[in-house]
Amino acid sequence: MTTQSSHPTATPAPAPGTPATPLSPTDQHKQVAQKEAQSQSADPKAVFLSDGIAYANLYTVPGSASHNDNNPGLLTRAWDPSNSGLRVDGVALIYPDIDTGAKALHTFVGKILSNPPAPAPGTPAPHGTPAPKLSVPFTPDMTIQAFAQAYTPANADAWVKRFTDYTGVASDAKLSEAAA
Amino acid sequence: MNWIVVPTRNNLQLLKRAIETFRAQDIGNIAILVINNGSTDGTTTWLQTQHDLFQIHVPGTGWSVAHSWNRALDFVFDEQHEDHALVVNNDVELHPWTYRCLLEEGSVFVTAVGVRERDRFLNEPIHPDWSRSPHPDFSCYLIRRDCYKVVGPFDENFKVAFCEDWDYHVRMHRYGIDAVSIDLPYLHHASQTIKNASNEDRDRIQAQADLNREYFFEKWGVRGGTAEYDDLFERPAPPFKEQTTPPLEHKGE
Repeated sequence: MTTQSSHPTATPAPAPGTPATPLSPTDQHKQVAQKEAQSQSADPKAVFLSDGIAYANLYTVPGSASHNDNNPGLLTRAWDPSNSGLRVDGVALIYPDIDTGAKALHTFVGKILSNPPAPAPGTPAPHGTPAPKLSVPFTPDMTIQAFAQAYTPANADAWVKRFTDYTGVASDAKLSEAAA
Repeated sequence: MNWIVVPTRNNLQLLKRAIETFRAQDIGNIAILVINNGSTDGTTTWLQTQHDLFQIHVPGTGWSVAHSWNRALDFVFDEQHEDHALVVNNDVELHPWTYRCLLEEGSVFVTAVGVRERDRFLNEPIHPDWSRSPHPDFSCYLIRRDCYKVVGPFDENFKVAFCEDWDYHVRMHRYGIDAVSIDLPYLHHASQTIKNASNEDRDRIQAQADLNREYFFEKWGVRGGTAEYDDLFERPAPPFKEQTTPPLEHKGE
């Protein structure tokens, strides 16, 4: 069952040695959410999920990879083919600014939510199914926990905790429910 | 970027080995596109954890080989505006220099040569002069945009799999393109898709393969892999005429 609570006030501790920044992590996060909300059609479901993903990816922590790379979704070339020409940090793209990175995250989440649910093994494609296009490999029927295990397998549990703490969504909720 | 295209259906363990050898290509700047044709063996879940792989997930029994190749090449040439792509099976392993050598060879369509024995794959001496053979191996081919745009897409009247490669070979010849292989081995766990397929899948593939062979015969007047087929490439290319009557499609039981 999905629940949405008000966002917790606790903010993650900044990385050791991090210089002071003009915006608090919470303010930075609000800034990302605002930019996401301004982008495209600002689908509130996608914005809500994007916000939680950015937080769980430590975007609010100066010095984190997502913060340094203006990549709150830690997106790769494969997840954002339209920006595949950008430089990468490991496999994560380095966006020129947070506007571009936030918009890309919003698009990424929108693709997940518009993917068809994973079919049961062996299920034939329904007649009239449109030809699939290059897409992200996650489906809206994945639970938060399952998504984390695929999205960030090395630290899935910690990621889920941050996501659920921030959004108030249960870890066994589906992505589509979390966005509802 | 240097794109590698690999359609797959099940055979996860072989796919993992294949992908590792793709990532290790010394040409660098590699982008790998996996077309997952309705795998049911855990491939889909594994692919979700491979964040560098571009992916298309096709439900049901997936796309045919011809359709998979066409959609991938359309993407690489038309959307990514690249000049070339390496197209490989999911049951191969490549030397790290494979992509670079195929590209350096310079032809608009060139293939490596599959070997079945790992010892031979590992120990075959490298031939810097790349002796060429007029027998392309479509399990590992490099195709350039110029070739694809002249010859056109693979004939999707060949459903599921088999014979679409023979057909393209003939069509390239008709357009004056000599498809060649160079003496560059890759390891090919050949026909693993059908060997490891479920009984239902195997029946479906084999039944359609028979129909495809008949379609090929109807289209070109010879049977693939025969001396008469080889003769097609000894003659000057006759005027080209596309087949207009597609074959029957195997619908299963």
